[in-house]
Amino acid sequence: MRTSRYFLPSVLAGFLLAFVVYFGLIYWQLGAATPNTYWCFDMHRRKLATAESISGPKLLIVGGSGALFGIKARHIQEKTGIPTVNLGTHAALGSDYILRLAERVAKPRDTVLLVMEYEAYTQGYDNLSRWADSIYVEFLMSRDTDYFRSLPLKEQLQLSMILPLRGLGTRLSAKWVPLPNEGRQIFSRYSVYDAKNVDDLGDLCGHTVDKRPNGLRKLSTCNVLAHGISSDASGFKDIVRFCKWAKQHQVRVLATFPNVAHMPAYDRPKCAQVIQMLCEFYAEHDIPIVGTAQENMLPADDFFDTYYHLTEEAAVARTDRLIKRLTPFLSTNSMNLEMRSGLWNGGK
Amino acid sequence: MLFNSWQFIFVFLPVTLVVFFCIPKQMRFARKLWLCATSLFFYSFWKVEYLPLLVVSILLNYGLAEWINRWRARSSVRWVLVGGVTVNLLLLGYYKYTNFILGVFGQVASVDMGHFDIILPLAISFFTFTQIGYLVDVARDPKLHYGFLDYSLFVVFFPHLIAGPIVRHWEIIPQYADRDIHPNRDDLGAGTAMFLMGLFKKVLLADTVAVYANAIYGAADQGVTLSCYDAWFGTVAYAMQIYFDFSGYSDMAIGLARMFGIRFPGNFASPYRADSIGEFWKRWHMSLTRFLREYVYIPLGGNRQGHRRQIINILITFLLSGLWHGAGWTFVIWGLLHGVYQVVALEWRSFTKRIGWEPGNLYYKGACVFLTFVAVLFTWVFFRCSNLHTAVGVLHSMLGGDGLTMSVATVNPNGHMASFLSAVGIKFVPDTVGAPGYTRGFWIVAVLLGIIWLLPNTQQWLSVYRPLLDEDRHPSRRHLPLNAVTGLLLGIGLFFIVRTYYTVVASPFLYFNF
Repeated sequence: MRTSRYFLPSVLAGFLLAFVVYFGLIYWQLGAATPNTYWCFDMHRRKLATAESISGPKLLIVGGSGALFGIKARHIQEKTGIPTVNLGTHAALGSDYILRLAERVAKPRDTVLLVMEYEAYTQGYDNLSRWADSIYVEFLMSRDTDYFRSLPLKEQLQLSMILPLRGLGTRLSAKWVPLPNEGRQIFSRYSVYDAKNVDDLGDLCGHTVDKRPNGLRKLSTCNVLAHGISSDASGFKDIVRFCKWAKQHQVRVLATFPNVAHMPAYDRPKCAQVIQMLCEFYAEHDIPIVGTAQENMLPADDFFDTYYHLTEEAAVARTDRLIKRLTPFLSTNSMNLEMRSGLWNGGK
Repeated sequence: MLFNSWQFIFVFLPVTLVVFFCIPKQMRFARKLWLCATSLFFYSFWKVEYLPLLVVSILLNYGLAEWINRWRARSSVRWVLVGGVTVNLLLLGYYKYTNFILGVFGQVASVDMGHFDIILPLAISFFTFTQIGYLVDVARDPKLHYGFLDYSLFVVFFPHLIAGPIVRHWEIIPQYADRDIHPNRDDLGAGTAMFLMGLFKKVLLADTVAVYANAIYGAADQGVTLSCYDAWFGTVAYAMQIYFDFSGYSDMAIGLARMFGIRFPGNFASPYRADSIGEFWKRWHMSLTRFLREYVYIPLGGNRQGHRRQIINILITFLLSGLWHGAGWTFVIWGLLHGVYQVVALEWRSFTKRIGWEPGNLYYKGACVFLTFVAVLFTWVFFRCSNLHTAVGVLHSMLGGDGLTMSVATVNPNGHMASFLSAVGIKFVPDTVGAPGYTRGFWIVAVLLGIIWLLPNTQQWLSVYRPLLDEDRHPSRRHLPLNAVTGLLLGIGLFFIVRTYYTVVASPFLYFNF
């Protein structure tokens, strides 16, 4: 039996057809509000609105969910008197996106406290396709199409391939007939992913020990701390870019280490090397470090569900410790000294 | 470069094919040279440092074969052959077995013998066996002689270089010379279809089920005690993974060769449908089985020197098969276990013959297929585990050493199914593995078993296009017409394969380790 003369051309045609249909559907569903992206969307909207409304100098806590779960902006504001907003969000959004959130609302004389998760140093704009997951892609395509469209075409194509097929039907129909209440998810019981549990200062509330899902499960180990990180990891570049932006806009940058569940692997030399590298990185860019990595490595009992997510009780204690460390940096004298030395306006 | 990587599919393969067919067919030398050069590039893409090893191995073996041919009348020919085979085996042994042997000596002498940082060169087991076979055949056959380029291409031709099939010179080299190779839609069509079907098996089936096998065996490697269900589920998942991984690879290799107008012998023919271990080995890695039969079992005497000697020969052959797959006690036991199965099957056949019982009905055959499958499952435990201790732990769980246990993550402990399972004596234990989506995994494995046992295999689907060099021993009535509709479906499938490159890193074939 002979192969049909149409067989090979139709293999190519099938490939091209699938390509065109797939990207056509992706393009069509851009901007469709989906329920599982509502949490980040609403949280960002309210946090940014609060930050925007503050007229004087303010403190912005910037990081992933480690900052969201582990730091209380309200406590800092009450104890230091400086208006504070917690911009902590989903760490899956990557360092570039998280830092650009801060850029939207930071004004001259503001202070940004970076609390980047250790993985954030590897999740840079340069290597989107290496780390970007379905949560990130779905969020951009659903809630921040401007950012998505601002990416180079190659990155847009790569991210489009990552978008999960599951839920494509929902997204297409949501584009056709928008979901009510901008796709808000309704939870029958407490969930940290319920937007109503994030207050207007950006703090997550109610994640107390008794609400821990299925009790405390075995927490995994942070790979970056256990196995090390390359000094040219792409997340560093995003932070350098942000620091340049901050200097140009007279925004002061401080950094601290994220709260993380302590594991035996962190007592090994590899982990000390990672911490040392981060200290040297921030020192090189004149960014003061608040506190130490070790003091933020906390017992597993303090964590809610993952190794970065503190319970509310532990978050209060962690914030109290942070305030003690932070206060000297927030004093008027300290700020004036730094301004005079040119640290805030681009002079190194 | 992996067959399932985008670099191979969208750059290397099209460029190699187009240039090959652009060279006028009268310039056969240039065509062969091109294929040799691209094959060496393909090999060196992995690690260029090992390219000299491959080249030296080819030069050495071709030189020895020429020497044997020229001085055939001398009595020293036998010693040259023995020397050549020994050098090949020593080279293989150095890279593959040095640390294993040191470990064994260390254990026996209770001293630390140290450890060498030796990286196993890719494909060394395959190109060594291919060339040993050639040397032996040259010594046997006075008329055997090929040009250097033909020989080199026979060894390095990229579709079989990395993980087989282990081809024989008389099957392949004449095809380079005799065939009037030109681009034709039959070769390209059948080759493309075979390649794509192999690619789907690897990327969509093997890599999907691998998630479960890796999670469960990864936990076992870390010393976690598996529940009885997890141990069985992980082992069946691994059996599916290695089946679709290796059959996918074999299909891709055969399809690639066919695109260039070369037919390879079959390497894989639905082995889990075998109704005996002997039959299993006639269907699993057929080219290795054939090699071991022709160059180990038969030279040892086969079944010609009495029953007891036959049993010893079987055990030696399977022991070597185990060692060929890997340097470790787990592989030794894997091989020996297959040998023991083979001996038991031999004894059973003689017993049924003696009492004059010739069972042949469908139920008996079905039971034999199932029993063979289960027996093979037990051997995969040794094949997959990184050490004997872990393997024993997994077997202990499979055999219900801690009772008939099931993790709470498998079934909702408050549901009807859990009540039923409790009633039949199954105990629920805490989840120790943390494998993602047990229910999904169960259905994936069930569907894969259905594909294996109920659907024709790739060769059978494409049998009317004669994809293999040899005739298919298990023909099927159903076949896949290579027409526009099939092409369209395969093209759409290819797009979704490409899509997976963005969500998962292309994983190497399991047989690349051997």
